[in-house]
Amino acid sequence: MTKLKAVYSSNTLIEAILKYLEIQYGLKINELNTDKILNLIYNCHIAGTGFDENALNVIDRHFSNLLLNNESYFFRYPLQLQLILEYCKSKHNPVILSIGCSKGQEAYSISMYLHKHNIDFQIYGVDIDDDAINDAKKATYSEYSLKALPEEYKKYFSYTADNKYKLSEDIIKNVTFLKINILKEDISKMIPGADIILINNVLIYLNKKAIETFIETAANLLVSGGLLFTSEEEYSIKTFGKFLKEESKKGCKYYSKPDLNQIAIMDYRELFDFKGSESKKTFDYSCLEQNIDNPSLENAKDSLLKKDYLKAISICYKLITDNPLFDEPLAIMSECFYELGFNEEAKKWLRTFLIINSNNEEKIEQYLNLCLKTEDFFEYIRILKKKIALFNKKDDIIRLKNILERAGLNAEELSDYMQ
Amino acid sequence: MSIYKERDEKIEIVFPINDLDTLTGEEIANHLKQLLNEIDGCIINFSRVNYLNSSGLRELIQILKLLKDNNKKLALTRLSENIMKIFKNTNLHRLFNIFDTDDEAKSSLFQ
Repeated sequence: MTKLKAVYSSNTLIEAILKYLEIQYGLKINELNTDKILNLIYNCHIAGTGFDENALNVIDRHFSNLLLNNESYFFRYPLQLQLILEYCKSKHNPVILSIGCSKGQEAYSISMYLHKHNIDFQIYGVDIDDDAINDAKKATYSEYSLKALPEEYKKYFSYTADNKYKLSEDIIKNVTFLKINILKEDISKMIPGADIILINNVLIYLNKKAIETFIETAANLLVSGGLLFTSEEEYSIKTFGKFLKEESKKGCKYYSKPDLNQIAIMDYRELFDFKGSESKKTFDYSCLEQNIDNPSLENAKDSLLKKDYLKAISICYKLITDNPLFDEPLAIMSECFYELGFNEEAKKWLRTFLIINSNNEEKIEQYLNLCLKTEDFFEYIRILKKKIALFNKKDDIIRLKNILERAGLNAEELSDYMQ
Repeated sequence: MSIYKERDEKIEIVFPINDLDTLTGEEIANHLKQLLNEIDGCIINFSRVNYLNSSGLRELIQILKLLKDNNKKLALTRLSENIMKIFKNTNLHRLFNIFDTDDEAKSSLFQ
């Protein structure tokens, strides 16, 4: 748990609880939910169930029912379904992700729609609420949920003894539900990437910081050319434009992820030497040689030239363990990790290199090049922005502006620098 | 004052308060420089750190170097989830000795 201090330094119980909701769940605090929390405290007090101990557990249990609206229905956004189908027709086994899936109506609507059109697919539904996820897995619904369901899809439901509608196994089997707190857990470890992401009626509950995190996470997860759908109310949130391109078709607004590889290749053709998609693999540091005779920078460079990357890493690792301010081995190590296909490791060591050499233009450029080579374009854009903030070089501003414009991303904020 | 200090025999325990940035880092480094003859090493306890930026990290690397050059040890303890993330993002967790508690640091590093 983070920033507990902020929670505990609050003066009153209600302040503490609201702070907790803000930090733990990214919730936007407004008059309505402040009232609801006040009521909850009051009712617990009246009922004598107490609120003093484990107050935060009580909140964990109640927050979703109390503060989020979990009610939804099938075929709520039919225009989105049409565009999803169109996109999926040209893809092999596309991955679709419903963020804030609640009781699963959205995920199952897509499943029904694509199933009817004989498309192969995989759908994930993620939500922060345990109860909603469990309900989604049960796939049994009230009549309300079926209110917008077209007649031809009713065949996928069977009527149960307790006046409910149970969805058929054919529709359920391609959908996986996971409980994830996107603010706290790394979703990319559970879902490697998505062709289509839906975030409908989720961001409206969140505060600014949480919205930024959600959108950036989704944008990172999306494959190049992938689509993101969101409700009209959420579509106008500016952060989307930082990462994704605005699109509109058949009266439905959505976002697409620019194919940044294409754009970058045009600008930096000579830098590119793609290494496939093994960037996520983890390196086992115990395989490094322990006894290095005479570790020196020359030996490391020599090993790098001979393409004995593991040896070069072993030497550099020893060198920086002995002298953590020695920056050159960090750059060599980063290069070796890149050559071996461990892109994340390469970037991590080069970040340390940057930390030691902050404000050094040439070295920031070295890091930018690595971002390009490892296809980490959002990091590239982020660091380029930082570089502009530090040095305010016209060339950099133009470079960033070109990239953003070519990708169809929002370049508005650059106008401050252009003056 | 942005740091709080405690001494446990030959180990200096430093608690940076709130932000660990250039100023706090320099304060710790200057403080330790004066103690080099008296101590075996230092524990920097992060329990009261809310914020760490890259210049704070750079100061920490400098402190690590300072202590290494003088044959002293350095341990970092009580790192929050978010601060640990910053270390892992830069692989610096591989260069520092990081422990959950001061007691663990004392028994594994300073015995």
